[in-house]
Amino acid sequence: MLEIKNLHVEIEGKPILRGIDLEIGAGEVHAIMGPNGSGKSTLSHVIAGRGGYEVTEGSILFNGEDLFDMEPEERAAAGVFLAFQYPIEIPGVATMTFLKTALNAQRRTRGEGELSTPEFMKLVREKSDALKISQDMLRRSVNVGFSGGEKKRAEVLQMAVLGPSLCVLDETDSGLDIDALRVVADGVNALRGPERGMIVITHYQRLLNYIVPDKVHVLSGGRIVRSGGKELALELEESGYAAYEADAA
Amino acid sequence: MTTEIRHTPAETAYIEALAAGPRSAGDAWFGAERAAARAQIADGGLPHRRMEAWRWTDLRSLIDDRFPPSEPAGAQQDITSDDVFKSVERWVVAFVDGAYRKDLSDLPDGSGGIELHSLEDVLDAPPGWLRDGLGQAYAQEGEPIVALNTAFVTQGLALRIGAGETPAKPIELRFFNSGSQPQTSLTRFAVVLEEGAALTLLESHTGAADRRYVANTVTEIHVHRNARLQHVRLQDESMAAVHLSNVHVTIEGEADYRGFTLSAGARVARNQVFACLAGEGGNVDVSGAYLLGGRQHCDTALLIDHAVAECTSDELFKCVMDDDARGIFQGKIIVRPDAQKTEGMQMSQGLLLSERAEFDSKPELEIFADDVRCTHGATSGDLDEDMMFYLRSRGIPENEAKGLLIAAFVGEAIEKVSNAGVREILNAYAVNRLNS
Ligand SMILES: Nc1ncnc2c1ncn2[C@@H]1O[C@H](COP(=O)(O)OP(=O)(O)O)[C@@H](O)[C@H]1O
Ligand SMILES: [Mg+2]
Repeated sequence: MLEIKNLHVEIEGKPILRGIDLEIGAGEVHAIMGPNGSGKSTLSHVIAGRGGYEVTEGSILFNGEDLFDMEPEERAAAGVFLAFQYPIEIPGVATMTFLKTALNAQRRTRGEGELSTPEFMKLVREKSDALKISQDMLRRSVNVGFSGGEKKRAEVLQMAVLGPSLCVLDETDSGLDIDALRVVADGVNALRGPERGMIVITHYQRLLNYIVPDKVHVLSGGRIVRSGGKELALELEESGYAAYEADAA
Repeated sequence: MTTEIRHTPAETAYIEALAAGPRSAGDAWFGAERAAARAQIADGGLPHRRMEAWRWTDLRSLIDDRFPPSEPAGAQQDITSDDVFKSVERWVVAFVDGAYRKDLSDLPDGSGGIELHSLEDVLDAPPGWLRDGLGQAYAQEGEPIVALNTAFVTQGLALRIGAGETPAKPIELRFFNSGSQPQTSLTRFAVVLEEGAALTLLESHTGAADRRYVANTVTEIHVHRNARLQHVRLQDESMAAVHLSNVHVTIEGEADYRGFTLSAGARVARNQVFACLAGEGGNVDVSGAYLLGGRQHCDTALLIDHAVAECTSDELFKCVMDDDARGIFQGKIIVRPDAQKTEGMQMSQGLLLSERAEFDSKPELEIFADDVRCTHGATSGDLDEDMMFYLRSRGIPENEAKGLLIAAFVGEAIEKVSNAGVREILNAYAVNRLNS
């Protein structure tokens, strides 16, 4: 479903991604691990369509379509979702309003009918209960005054409500205590399915005990320096990234 | 060297009107002030950029044609489509082209301690409370908008809420200008809340689309001890109009004045508010929002005067400027030597939606007491890119995302309005304006 070929990306003339090749099939969960600054968030932003990056080489196809021809909102409607490493606070826009606007905009773009308020409320209640998100939190402005853990849970709630086919989770585990980690992982696992692909970006192996990946990739210095099965994550936990950082330099 | 003062067409029209015939009704009451105002118009004309308070709003060049004082006509007028506060239960006092229109009003029934007079009816025999209790506007010597009003005005309203009374519904002052010919409509208002009274006063200012006219209103308000006034103005004049408003408020001990102005219309708007905290424990909030596009120009000039101790003042202005629009905010706070334990907060924020839009802000603090807490700030910027990307990454199209962020931006100021129904109207107004 996602094919990344020889992707080179620069920020203000500085090369950040230096030839990424990655293929994710429907139903697969891929973990991307790597040291800080290796380009993990850059990759996730380029997939979601954030500005400020220059793609100097390579391509990304999503279900056969060139992602670079699509605006961020078009990618979202086509099924791409990024759970942000640092979710953005939006004062004055209630979380509920935001979610409903987003879902209905996507449905409009796909030629599906908009959900009525009761239908929407039912859907959100179901998903938010599972993620232990209070109705009070939904009435507050998007991410404003949320704790670190609440922000991450809210990202997973958005993902659950919008039901994307490609989920990119950028360090959704960072800053979570063990209970919160379980809740988030359960939320993500509930979305696993034969139609859905996932990229789980993490710095630590811990999350992968709960979300067990099909493949693990090590990103270092803007390149995938190693790929393997889920046991690679355990190995990394033992040895650390030091060997790969030397590689990249 | 002699400097010859050349009058602009607008000034010439006013000066000709002065010569044409003095309006004598009310002379016994404020004849001296009127004479001074007439002299000021004749000598000084309109305010211009070399006057510090008008440096951004040069009326000599911005009012570019003759707009003689209107002759109240009383023609048939359908103003139903301009009923912006329609969904709020309220009484209405209507003015068309500056003339009081009883036929278009829905007047209070006399309950709730409401005393109300058309100014025209009481010019020669004002009730005592009106004659004695007001006149601050005249004291603001040389204030050009007030002078223009004082020189020509014959129409308006005197409104008083009796001690301890709370009328069952808000009262709306509804202004409509037909602009059937280029002219200046002038109205004058006196609002007195006696001790412990409470009122929501609404104002709507609209006009026939794209018609050219000048609308000038001067309002004097006295909020007595323990009284509370919520004053909400929605300005959506014709996009070719000039709107000049001036509000004077005196706030006595433990009293509250909360003013809010949404500026959406008019080619040129100037809003002045002079608020004096005259009794301990008084609170004033003067806030507003701008929704400007095209070549619109809106300038708010505030003076908050803390004359006594233990009062609070708050100002929050959220200003959106698109295209070539220009927003200006000038906020001055004076804390006099006796005004210890003053708390003052002022913030003005501009949101620029185009490279050519402009926002100028001039906060000014003059503090003569030592035990005070005053903060002020001003920001100006464009839409936050991270917020835009976040919204779009969830599938919200660019324009809709912009609309959400802009509505949220002005919504923060609209939050100041305590009447939920009115707040909803203002919010909806902002959203609709941005989508159009
Ligand atoms: N906006 C930016 N401007 C300049 N450099 C950036 C910017 N964003 C990221 N970088 C740089 O790109 C590299 C990769 O960053 P990032 O993708 O955030 O890494 P990771 O998520 O793996 O920690 C880092 O060296 C970082 O400093
Ligand atoms: Mg990162």
